[in-house]
Amino acid sequence: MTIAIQVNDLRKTYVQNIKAPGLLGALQGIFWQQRRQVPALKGLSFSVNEGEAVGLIGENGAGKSTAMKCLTGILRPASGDLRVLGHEPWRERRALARKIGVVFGQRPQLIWDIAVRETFNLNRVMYRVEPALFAETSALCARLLELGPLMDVPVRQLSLGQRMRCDLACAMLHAPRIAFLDEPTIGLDVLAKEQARQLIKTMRRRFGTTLILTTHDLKDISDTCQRVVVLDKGSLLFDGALLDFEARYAREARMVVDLDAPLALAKRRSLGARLKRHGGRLLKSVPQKVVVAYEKASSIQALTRVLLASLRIADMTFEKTDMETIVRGLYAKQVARRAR
Amino acid sequence: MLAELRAQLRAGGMLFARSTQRRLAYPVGALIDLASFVAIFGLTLLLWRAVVSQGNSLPMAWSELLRYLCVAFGLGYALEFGIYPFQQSIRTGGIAIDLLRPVPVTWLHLCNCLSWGALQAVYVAIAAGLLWHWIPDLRVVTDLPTVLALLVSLCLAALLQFSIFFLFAQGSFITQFGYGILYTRLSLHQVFSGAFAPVALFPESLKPWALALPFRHVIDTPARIALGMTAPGEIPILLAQQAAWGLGLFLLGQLIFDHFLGKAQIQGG
Repeated sequence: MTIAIQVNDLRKTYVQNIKAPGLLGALQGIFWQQRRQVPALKGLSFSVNEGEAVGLIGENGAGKSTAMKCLTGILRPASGDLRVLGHEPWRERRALARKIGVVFGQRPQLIWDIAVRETFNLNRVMYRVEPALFAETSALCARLLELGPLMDVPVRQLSLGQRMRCDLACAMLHAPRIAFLDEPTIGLDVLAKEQARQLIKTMRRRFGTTLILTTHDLKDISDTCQRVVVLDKGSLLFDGALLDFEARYAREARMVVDLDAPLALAKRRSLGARLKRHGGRLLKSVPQKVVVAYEKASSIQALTRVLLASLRIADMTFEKTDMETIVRGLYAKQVARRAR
Repeated sequence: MLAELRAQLRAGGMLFARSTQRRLAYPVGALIDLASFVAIFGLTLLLWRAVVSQGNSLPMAWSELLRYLCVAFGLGYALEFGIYPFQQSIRTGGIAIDLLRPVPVTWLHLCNCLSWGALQAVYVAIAAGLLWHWIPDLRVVTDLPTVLALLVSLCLAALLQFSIFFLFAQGSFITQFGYGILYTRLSLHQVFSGAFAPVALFPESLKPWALALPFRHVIDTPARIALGMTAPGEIPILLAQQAAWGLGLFLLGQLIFDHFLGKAQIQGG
């Protein structure tokens, strides 16, 4: 397996100006400004094989976008070794640019004043895309993202979601070897998000595109990636298969029980104690709903017996912990750890 | 090597076309721009006419000054191209997108500027055509060597103007706010380029500055070549000076840009 991305001990620090508040602070800032160093990446190391799909997740300020910018050659790292498709991104930015496709959700590359088609054609020439390939990729994007009616509209007249769809297509027209997608589904509705994921999956199947994806919508990752890299304040918190991530952090599953009649407070307390004896945990108990968390599948029978004996059940469902909940729990643990 | 050059030229042609389309997307804005240019031009002519009619002796005849001002205004308008998007992109971090394109950032902005310049030159030609009756005696050089020298001088003036813009706009890397720096450029340009008065009419205290700075080679030099106001044997020297300034500042701008990029902070998603 060829390595597409190799990152060793990558570090990047930003300098932030601290402004004193109010008018007085603004006047003071003319003569003197306090500055602080903010480490955005603290020795990040990982590698990605060609054809892999990696989801990069983390809280705001975790260093995801900074890592993306270093990987694409926009930012010069403070230290560390970095190779992307054999190039040192910072030094060989233009050579690398032809082989990668990039979407920065917050910074579209479409030309604001003219029709979408014009940017597509500009990219065709700049990226030196063969006519047959351009015909194939542009048709694919137009079909999957439903771009047909948008192609001749000036970009400034498109909605945020329409712009994002066109921007994603722009990054895929030259069938890049690596697609760096930084929040590519920002501003998209549910249907458009699904279309975007479909395009990503199709590009990977058809062209073997390596994918590096950051997003706050974890469904993007569970739908398109097999591997997750979790960042926390510039450091690596987890790097492994999505299934391992879920196995390690999603130990709990849930039973959600809807009741026929409201449950009395005293009965709720005693129910909690009995569930605990059988490996369960009463997560939530409102008058007509009970949520029970459990770790081992072997507890299900005993817990179900307790619930059936204690409650008048109208409906009962079993839920696996979703990615969103796992990550929320993980962040909460990190915040608590840092507070200690 | 040749294939690479051809590909970059092709990309440049496409960037030129797209930039022109962007400008044409706002015809009302362009018309207002042109109208303001004509108004400033008219006012400047009136001012100079008043100076001459008050009996002030100038080392240049009124008809000669009128011809100079017409050409200088045309050049000034055509070469006042928009590097502002570049400055703005440094300030807002939008430069990240420029850096992701597989063409040099300098080339990208040079093509944008040249397309603006070409379009504005067309506007100037239209305005000149409309005002032809009121500007008599606007004859320019016609002998082939001087016409060729003029074409070279115009190209060098465009390169020099771009290089000056590119250098000044990079001040945004330091100040984070480009206007102060860009207005400084505009002021220096308006005073020293010959846009409002030929350098030959400058007071003795200003002349050494005008001769030492590069700005006069943007307007005064090509205007003088176009109107045949140069001394015998002066044209090659002027072209050499223009080329030295243009290429020198272009390379300096490139060096500084590479330096700043290494330190640039493009924060936020």
